[in-house]
Amino acid sequence: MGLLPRLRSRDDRAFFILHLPTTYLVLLFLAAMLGVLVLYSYPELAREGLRIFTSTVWNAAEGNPEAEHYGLAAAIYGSIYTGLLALLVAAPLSVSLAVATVEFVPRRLRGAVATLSDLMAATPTIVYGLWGLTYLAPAMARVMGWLHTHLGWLPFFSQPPPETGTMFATAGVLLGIMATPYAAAVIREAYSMIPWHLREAAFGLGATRFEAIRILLSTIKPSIVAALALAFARSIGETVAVALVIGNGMNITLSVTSPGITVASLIALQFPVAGLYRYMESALFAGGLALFAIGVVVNAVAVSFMKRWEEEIGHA
Amino acid sequence: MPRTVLEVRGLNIWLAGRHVVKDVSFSIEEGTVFALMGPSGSGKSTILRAVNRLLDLYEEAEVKGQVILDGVDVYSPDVDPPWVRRRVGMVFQYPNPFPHMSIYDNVAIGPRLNRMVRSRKELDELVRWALEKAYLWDEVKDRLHAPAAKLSGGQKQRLSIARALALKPRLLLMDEPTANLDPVATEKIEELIIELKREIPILLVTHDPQQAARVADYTGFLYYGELVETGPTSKIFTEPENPLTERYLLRRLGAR
Amino acid sequence: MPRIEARRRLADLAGRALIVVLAAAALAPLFHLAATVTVNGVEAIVRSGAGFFTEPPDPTDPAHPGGIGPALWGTAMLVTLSTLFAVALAIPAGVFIAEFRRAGISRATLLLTLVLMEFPTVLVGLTVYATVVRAFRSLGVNQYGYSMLAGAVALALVVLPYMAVQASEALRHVPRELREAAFSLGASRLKTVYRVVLGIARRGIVVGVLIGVAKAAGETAPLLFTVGGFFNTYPGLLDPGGSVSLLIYEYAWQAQEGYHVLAWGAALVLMTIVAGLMLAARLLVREVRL
Repeated sequence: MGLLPRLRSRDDRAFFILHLPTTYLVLLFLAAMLGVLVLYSYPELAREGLRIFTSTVWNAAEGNPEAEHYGLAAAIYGSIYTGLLALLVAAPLSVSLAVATVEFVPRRLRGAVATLSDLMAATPTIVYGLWGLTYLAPAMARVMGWLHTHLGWLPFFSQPPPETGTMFATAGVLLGIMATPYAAAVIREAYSMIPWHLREAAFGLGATRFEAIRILLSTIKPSIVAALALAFARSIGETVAVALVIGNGMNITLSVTSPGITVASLIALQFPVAGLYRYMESALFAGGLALFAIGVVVNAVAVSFMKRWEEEIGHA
Repeated sequence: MPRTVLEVRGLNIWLAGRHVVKDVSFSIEEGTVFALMGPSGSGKSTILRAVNRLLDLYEEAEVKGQVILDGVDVYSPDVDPPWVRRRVGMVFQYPNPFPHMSIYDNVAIGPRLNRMVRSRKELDELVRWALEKAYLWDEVKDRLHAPAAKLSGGQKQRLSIARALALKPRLLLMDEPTANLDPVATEKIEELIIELKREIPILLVTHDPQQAARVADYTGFLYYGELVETGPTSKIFTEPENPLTERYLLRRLGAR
Repeated sequence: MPRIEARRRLADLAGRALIVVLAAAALAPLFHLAATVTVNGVEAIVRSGAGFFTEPPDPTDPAHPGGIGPALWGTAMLVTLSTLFAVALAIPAGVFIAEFRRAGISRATLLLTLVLMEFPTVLVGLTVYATVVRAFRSLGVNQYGYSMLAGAVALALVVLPYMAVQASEALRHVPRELREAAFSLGASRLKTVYRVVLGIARRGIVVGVLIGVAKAAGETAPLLFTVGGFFNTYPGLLDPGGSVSLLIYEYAWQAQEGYHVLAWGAALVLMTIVAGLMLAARLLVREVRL
């Protein structure tokens, strides 16, 4: 299979050439994004160099451009940390939802449950954000408060949670809830396609229902990895829901009860005021550049896992 | 003097590197039905798709040789596949009218795409002609705009034939057209073939030698890519020259 | 022997119970969310009556907070424009990916498109800001350069990859025999694909469009730096404006009750639109790829 398709006639060639611009479209899009990000982050990058990616200081000094110092390290850390927290939440939930839909839900209701799950996935993230801010955050504040009181010696709960409940934990849990239906859909499809003879083999060994489920899950491990990679990729890019519940604190800490920030939410939160400062907009574009790099890597990894999984089931 | 409509010379086809059709040559004259029979997997359907360059759709297919339709080699570099396909109609193994279109539209789509008619009236007449030739007109004339999906299997296959006929082709290719039909529907289509051949020569691929015996003037026996024997049908069936042919016929006709 | 048996049985029961509990926990947020959105949203709509859908907002008066009329209009305009734009580009892209599926260039396009599908949408917003909005600002189209057009462009770019992949999948699922029948009619490849094969695949494509519309209606980040966030007047194409999703975001930040009432009402409207589109898509196809 070569790079170019076999074009055996004038008719074919004309058709191909007519559609070639669509490839350019995709490349143009990516190039435009990258170009814009590089161009606009240049002023700040030229000023502070690569330090901007490692510093945690975010000093917006109005009227005094010399004193402006921006550091994205906390935001980059936050993006990855909340992504991992989201995985922690989404992994058990999505696997269980997928398995339950196939194993325990009566056949007639299966479509309804799937539709419900799809509806969850289609719910706009801003609605999740509003709900998260109003209901999840206060609940998390109470739960985390209890954990801080009783398990505060653990680095994860070392800080007292803010009253509003806007902290890393809330963002992580919310992202996990949002990512679950997507991951569950992938795993559900994989699980339901496990061939009958494998199920019979598992039960034939004398396994209990639960033990058999675990065996079957192990046969579709690549799809679970792919699903979670997808969940992670989505979580990294989420903006408004995170912005509402993460608390806007520049902290690099393991403590999930601290307010934090991610690159996406930083851009959302600071952009409205960026015009007041000389270099902040540029710094935010630098953040965008970092997010672009992370996004490309994470999405490429997720897509490659998905492709690998799809190829595997192609041979099943 | 019977005119040759199709001449296949030294046709060789490779599918994903495998040599599936080996040096096949035959010709078809006006007013005749030529049947291609043989064990499944012999390459019969592949040869059919090479004739109307439908094989071009498959990247893994490699074709060498000549397929001469009315004196034009369809594989010469300045021939576009649509030119060939316009002049050669095709009917498939599974009755496959376009499910999202009405009966009328299924027949009309070919002429419409190829700008064959200039007015709605001409189109109506062409559709009627095609449906009559396909022995379907009487059954559907009152519901031409009903969805094609609602027809029975036999009716769908006749609709597919009408769809092909609407192009007024020089040659009709039929790929095991009755393989998925009941005996009654099969009989109807075989009648159709015998009637139709007077206007349009037919290249018929069949899995059933008895069908070849019933409808074909000439028959070719394709054995795993090689055209082992061709000739008038009566001769093939009564005095086959090649032992392979004989064995095939015995096995297929003897086992009942 | 009986002891081991009991232990395994207990583990089995506990394990299965765990799965069910976690599955319920996975779905529970949706139920809670749906319930609260409905209750709070209905409350908001009741306070303003039918005017909720037509009037501009008046958050300073919680008892009569006005409505989301301009924002609703904004969403309608943005979604329509972006869908038209996206579909016009996504179909040829999908055709290219599907028709030349085995060629390296097509596979690369598909891969890139898949990567773009889940890309951080805020970056699309930044890009459109740096190009369209800045250009409009310097051209003097309006004071800040924000416009509904910029928002529509951003949304189109967000939805385009998804629609292209859906279109290519729909085409890929056309049965081989129907495809051969279409090509055997002898029309050019262009005509055959666009006038026959796409018709056969249209159900899958319509579903892709419906879901694309749902996504466009719900997106917020691409609009943050492109439309400006104005909810009081009905915008034209080159005016700054807002959308229902943006309204929810902006108003969620505010402390006063009036803002929150409007935000919940807007959330209910948005959820209804999205749910309606999803249900319509579900009715057309059994398994929906998101």
